[in-house]
Amino acid sequence: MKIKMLATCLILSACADLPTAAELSEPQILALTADPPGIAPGEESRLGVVVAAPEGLLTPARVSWTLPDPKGAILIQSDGWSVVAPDNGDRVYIRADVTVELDDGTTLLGYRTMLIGEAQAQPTITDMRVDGERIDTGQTLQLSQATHELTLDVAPPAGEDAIFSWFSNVGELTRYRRSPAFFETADAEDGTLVVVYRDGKGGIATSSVRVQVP
Amino acid sequence: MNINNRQTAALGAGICFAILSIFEVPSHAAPVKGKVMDVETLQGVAGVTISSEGQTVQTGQDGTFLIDLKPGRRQVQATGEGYGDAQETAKVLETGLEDFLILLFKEAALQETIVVHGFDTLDTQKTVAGHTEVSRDELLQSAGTRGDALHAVRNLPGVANVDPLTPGEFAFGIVVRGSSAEDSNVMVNGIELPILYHFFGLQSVMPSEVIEDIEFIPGGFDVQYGNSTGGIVNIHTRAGKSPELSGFAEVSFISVSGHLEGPISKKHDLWFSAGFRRSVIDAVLPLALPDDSSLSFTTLPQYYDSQLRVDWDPSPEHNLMFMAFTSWDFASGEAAEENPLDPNASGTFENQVGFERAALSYHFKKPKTELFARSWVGDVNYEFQQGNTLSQSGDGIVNGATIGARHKPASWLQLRTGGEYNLEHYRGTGEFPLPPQEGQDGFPNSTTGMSVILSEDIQRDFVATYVAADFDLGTLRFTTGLRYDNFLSNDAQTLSPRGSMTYGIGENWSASASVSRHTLQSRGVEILRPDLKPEESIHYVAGVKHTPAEGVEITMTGFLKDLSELAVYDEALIVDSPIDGYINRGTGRVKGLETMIRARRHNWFGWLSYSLQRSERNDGPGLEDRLFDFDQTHNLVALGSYQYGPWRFGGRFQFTSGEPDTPLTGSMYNSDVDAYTPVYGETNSIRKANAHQLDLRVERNWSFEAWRLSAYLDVTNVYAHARPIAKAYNFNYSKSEDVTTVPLFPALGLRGSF
Repeated sequence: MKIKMLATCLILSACADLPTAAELSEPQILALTADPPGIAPGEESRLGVVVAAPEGLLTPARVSWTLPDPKGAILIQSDGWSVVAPDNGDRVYIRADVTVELDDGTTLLGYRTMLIGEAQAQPTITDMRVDGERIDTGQTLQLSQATHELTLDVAPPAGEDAIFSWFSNVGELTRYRRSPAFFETADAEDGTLVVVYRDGKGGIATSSVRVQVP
Repeated sequence: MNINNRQTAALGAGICFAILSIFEVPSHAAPVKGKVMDVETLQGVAGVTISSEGQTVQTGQDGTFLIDLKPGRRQVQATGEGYGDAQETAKVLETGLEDFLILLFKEAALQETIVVHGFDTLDTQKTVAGHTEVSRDELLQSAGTRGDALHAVRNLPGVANVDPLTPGEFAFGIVVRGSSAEDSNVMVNGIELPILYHFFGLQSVMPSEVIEDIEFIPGGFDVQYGNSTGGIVNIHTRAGKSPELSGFAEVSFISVSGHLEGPISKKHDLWFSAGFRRSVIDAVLPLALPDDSSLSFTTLPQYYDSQLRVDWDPSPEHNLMFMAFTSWDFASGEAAEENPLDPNASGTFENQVGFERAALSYHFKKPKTELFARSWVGDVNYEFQQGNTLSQSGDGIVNGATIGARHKPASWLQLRTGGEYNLEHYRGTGEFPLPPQEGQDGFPNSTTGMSVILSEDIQRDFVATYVAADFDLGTLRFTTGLRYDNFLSNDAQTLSPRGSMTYGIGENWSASASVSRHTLQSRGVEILRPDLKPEESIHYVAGVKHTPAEGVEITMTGFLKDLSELAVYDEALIVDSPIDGYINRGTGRVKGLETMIRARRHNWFGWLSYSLQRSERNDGPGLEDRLFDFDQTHNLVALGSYQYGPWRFGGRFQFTSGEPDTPLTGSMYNSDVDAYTPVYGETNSIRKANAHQLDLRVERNWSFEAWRLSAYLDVTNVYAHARPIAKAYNFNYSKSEDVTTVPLFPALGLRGSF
């Protein structure tokens, strides 16, 4: 047998010097939410999108959802989008596709899965901490020009499959898919810091703060 | 390596070489009188160039010569037109030396007497067009190969110009006549090599010092070769039959190595050769990596290999040979940056692969009867880990045996028969995304793709037998044979009839043609699906050979290959596991024309090789034909090597059409894992840029009293035309950078031998 060494990722990651998702260098989807992420028969889950661009979080001009294989679920558009589970369906995962149109004409495509036939709760972010100090959502964060440690406390506690995704249009984030992450703010500037927490079971929680670096 | 480091390295290499060039041996030369004789006629040979210590003289009409050399042991080289090169050691006294005799063999005689003692094959009629044998010096002295034999194979017609560093092909194989690398067999004395190259593809796992020559059959090969639908590359190792103990130590930018060979007992005709090599990349890489590199190593990449061969010739008819070789590569570390496309593969990594082989061969040979038997055992182990969720490890025991017999009942008839078995048993564990099949777009992704969870025993066994008859009717010679393969682990049997013929037209022309069927058992991760059928190919080959002058050969070969039962991948077939996606429904067609003009004179050799080719695939009913991943319409190689006294100069130029590529049309965000899935256009519907490069090599030899020193500088891609081999993308595939081969690579080496 011939052995094929799986070195591709290593080679490519070593060669590239391209913008990361954390830099918010272009319009991008940060998360597709379903609240709650799992619904019992007959219950409803509201769908949402979190979108950002270099200038920070933004509201899309138009959002359109589809269910390629609904398996009995119904997609409803009324003051937003939602999915209703069939009254007597099995426990299955379905995929929901979204098309997001922005004011500048940019179109973003994405998808997520959601659980139909069984209720599942959304996780919550209990605390966001910078250098150990707790930060409230909506607070403007004053940061010195230094490297700061970002941590997130969630409930229920994060499991093995959890993903912490940090984004900011200022400074430089490293280890931006973990907690703690590191946030280096070297220049005087204002911006936004966003974190998206995924519990690995479909649940998503987000939080954002304004950042000022004097 | 950034450009400044490269320039610095090149400058350093140049300076080192210049310093070495000013070494000269001491003065006080003494006269050496000698004679060059034809070994068959024992007559003096006129016009032979005698060179040693930077001096060159010619033999007179009676074959005698006079040259002044310093006292001590001096290497004297004799090169005469129509003869093979000869090198003898002259023990020069203070008063000089008289009656120094050098014997020359005619080139034709040499070709007949270079019997690759057939440890892996029987003597057969070489009636297949395109069959090529490359000699040891041609392998070692080709520019751009850094003296590596397997790199030199890429200079032959029919072999695609695929950089060993190409993602997906890394350290893997040789693409022959439009067939995937895994479709061809690369063997050492008939034993398949599980891995061809060490890290970064700089060196193959078999150092050239242990290689006698390489037999390359790009298609239509004989029934004694099986389990391949592409071509055959058979490396013949060298017996260590130096009359006295000899050896060398070498250090280069890439590795350090040592080799010893000689008699264990001349009385009992018992000989040995042994070699060892270790990379020095771990010393060089920290200097070459940019300061801001995201890679940090806990164990810098390093590799080792070793070889041992023992020959015993109890009588001229009998030979017993033991051979063992090993290889081991290891690296581990951490990537500081997140992997933007495959976040689960971020963080630490470890890559280790090694194998060992040991073989015992017996060969009995008389003019009318020949018999050989070989048995071998080995193991392989590998471990790959990247990030938290991607890991693969395994180990296996492999063993096999081959027997063959040849008998010549009449001058016009030779009968051959033989058989082989090959058992490979592995234990593998891990979780990893499947590597892409040929024609599949993108790279395996452990975040967005499905992963295989492996924890099982795997077998890949086959037995085979064959019969063949060779007819020699003067100007017409032909071979016909039948091979039976039983792929035990796939519960599949195949019959492969094959035939070839050569017709001599006058003294200088011959025409050859062959038709043959070949089958191939599942390889790689496909062996997880034992219900897959063997892949098949039918080769049609025709060619002419012209020898306009002694040492000059022109060949032209046309071929057509029909491929069927190719294992392709269809995600729609997945039920429980990603391996459900494999199915035998692919077909293919490869056609091409190859030309090679090869010349060899007493102090130079060179060749011009050109391949015109089109290789297409169809992945299933109703699907459009597409190009093969490594379809290269034009592939031109021109190389030459010239000896001038103690200097040898070489050059190599290659031009290759850009390989097919698949355009990326966009991407889709997968919110479940916070990563993007690429969206591709029509498979292989565009091409990468054409590739071209010039390699240069210069070598200088010095002889001292009891040893010799040689230094070489082999510069790959001297005009720094970096070749794109892949693309690196940002997180959502909206931006990309070309990943290229190293634009310029100087390899400086020093070798001391005795």
